[in-house]
Parts: sequence; C-alpha cells; structure tokens
Amino acid sequence: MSVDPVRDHLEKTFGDAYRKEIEQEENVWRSLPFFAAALALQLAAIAQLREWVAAATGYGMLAALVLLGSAGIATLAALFFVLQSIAPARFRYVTPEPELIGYAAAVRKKASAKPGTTPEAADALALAAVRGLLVEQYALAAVHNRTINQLRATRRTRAGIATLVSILLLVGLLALSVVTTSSAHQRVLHGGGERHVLFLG
Amino acid sequence: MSSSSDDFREPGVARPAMVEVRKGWWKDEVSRVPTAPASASFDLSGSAFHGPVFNNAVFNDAVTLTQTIGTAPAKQAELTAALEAFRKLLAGLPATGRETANEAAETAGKLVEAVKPIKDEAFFRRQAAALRAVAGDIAASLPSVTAAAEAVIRAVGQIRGWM
Repeated sequence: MSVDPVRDHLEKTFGDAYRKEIEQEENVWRSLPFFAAALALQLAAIAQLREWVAAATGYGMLAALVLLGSAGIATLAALFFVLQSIAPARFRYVTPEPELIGYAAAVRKKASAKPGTTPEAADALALAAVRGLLVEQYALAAVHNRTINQLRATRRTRAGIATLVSILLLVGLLALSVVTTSSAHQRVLHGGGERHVLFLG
Repeated sequence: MSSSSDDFREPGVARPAMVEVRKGWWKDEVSRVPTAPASASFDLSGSAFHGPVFNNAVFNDAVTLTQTIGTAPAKQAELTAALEAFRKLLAGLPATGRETANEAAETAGKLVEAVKPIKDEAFFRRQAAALRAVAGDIAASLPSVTAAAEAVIRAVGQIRGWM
C-alpha cells in the first residue's frame, strides 16, 4: 500500500488539535479556585472594613458606599460570567472504538466481495476507510469543540476582569479607610479634638 | 494499492456517526451526529475555508448539512438526523446571525415535516444533485454566519420548490 503523506499529515495535525480541545474542556473549571479565592479575599476585606464603613459620615460615607456598591456590582458580574463560562455545551467526539472496528470490518467484507480483490487490498481499503473517517471526525470535532472552548475562555476573561475591578475598588476602599483613620488620629494627637474628625463618629 | 481519497469512500457502507455529549451542570446527555463527507468540508486549498470562516461552527455545519443531505444514500432518517443536528447547533449559537439562523432552522423543520411522507428514491437523487451545487454556493457566498444561514435557506427553499 502506498503512503498518502497528505492524509498522514492531516491525521496527525487534526488528531493533536482534537486532543488539545478535549484537554481545554476542563480548563475553565480549573480556574474556579482562583475566583473562589478572590471572593474569599473580598469578603475578608469587607469584614475588616465593616465597622469603619458603619462609622463613616459625610463625604467619607458617600465615597465608601459608592466604592462598596461598585465592588458588589463587579463581583456579581464576575459570578455571572463565571456561570456563563461553565454553562452546558454540546461537545463532539469521534465514533466509539467498537463501531470503528465494525466499520472497518464492513468495508473489508464489502471489498472482499468484489471479484478480483485480494485480501491485502481489502485490508488496505479498510485501513484507509477508518483513517479517512477519523481525519474527518478529528477535524469536525476540533473545530466544533474549539468554538465552544473559545467562547468559554472569553467569558472567563470577562469574569477575571470583573473580579480585578472589584478587588481594585475594595483596595480603594481600604486605602480610604487607612487615610481617613490616620488623618483623624493625627488631628486628635495634635489637639484638634473630636470635632475635626471627619469620618469617625 | 493506492490509498487515494476516493478509496475510503466505500459506497454502500454506512459511515458511523460521531458522538455528541451535552455536558450539563447536573448530568450529561449523549446523542449522535452524522459525520460530514470529506469532499468539500476540508478542502483546504479552497479560499472559502480559510480564516475565521473555517472556525465558524455554523458555516461548517451548514456545509455539513447540505453535503450530508447531498451524499447520503437517500435515506430519510439520515436527512432528518442531519437537519436535527443543524437545529441543535443553532440552539447554541451566539447572538450574531441568530435571527437568520433561526429562520433557517424553522424552514429546515418544515422541510423535515414535508419530506417525511416521501418515499421516492428519484426525488432524493434530484435533491442530492441540487444540494451538492448549493454546498458549493455556500462556499462561494460564505463570508459570515448570515451568509451561511441564508445559503441553507436557499438550499431548503430549492427542495421545497420541487414539492
């Protein structure tokens, strides 16, 4: 049997692409711990700032509420995108092995039934049939699954950006609390009295 | 013996279908989808299959649909399965082109209903010849989801015109 270099190349390339996309299927799930850790960090920060936010007044309170509200919206958006990225999807896979064996056997049987076909030729035809079918199925499944995986990755990226925005807002809130608290302490230390404390009750 | 691309297109031997698994949050659903014929879907020499269009699942399935219909051994069940697979794909489409694609799906659904009572082998042979031409039409008109979906509509309309 002569070698078909084109089909050999396609079989290897598409087979690799198919296997890569299968590995990518679980990729989004593997990033979920990052989002869980980020959420835990945010909740811990909010717990630490709870008393300061409750005690803040005036512009301090307004800034705190804006930052906190924006962080909450960003976190909700992140959770939404995470949910989107793991939404149910229809993946495609090559024919199960037993059916491929049956297909090869059927092709060989049909080829053998033709007058003048040698057993070697029938075997070669069966092999070519299975390989040709697999090349097509690898290609179809890789393209199909890649589309889903890319969509999932895009949604995960959105979730990541929303999480980062949320963290940055909370960092801003934390910075505000530190600045105002130290400012208030400074004023108390320099005899300014409590009436100069802007953000603490 | 040569192993050219024609060798493995052994006529009369049904090609096994691919497996489709809907991976849900709670459970998976397994179904089958037909394998597209190799002839045009992966003719990488054709410019129609390069760039983003090659990665466009809708486009590929539009070609798959028409070619499956066009080259299937005139079996009503295969036609129905091909259309059903296409409809399933449409359900998962991104917003782009969904409206046109839905229209294609709806028309395809009507086609299935219309084809069900037909047992005429000659009808399917005529259909195969025309749809092969339409598959080429899709490849030529290609450039977007909408173009692919519209080509399917044309293909379906062509069949309906014969009835």
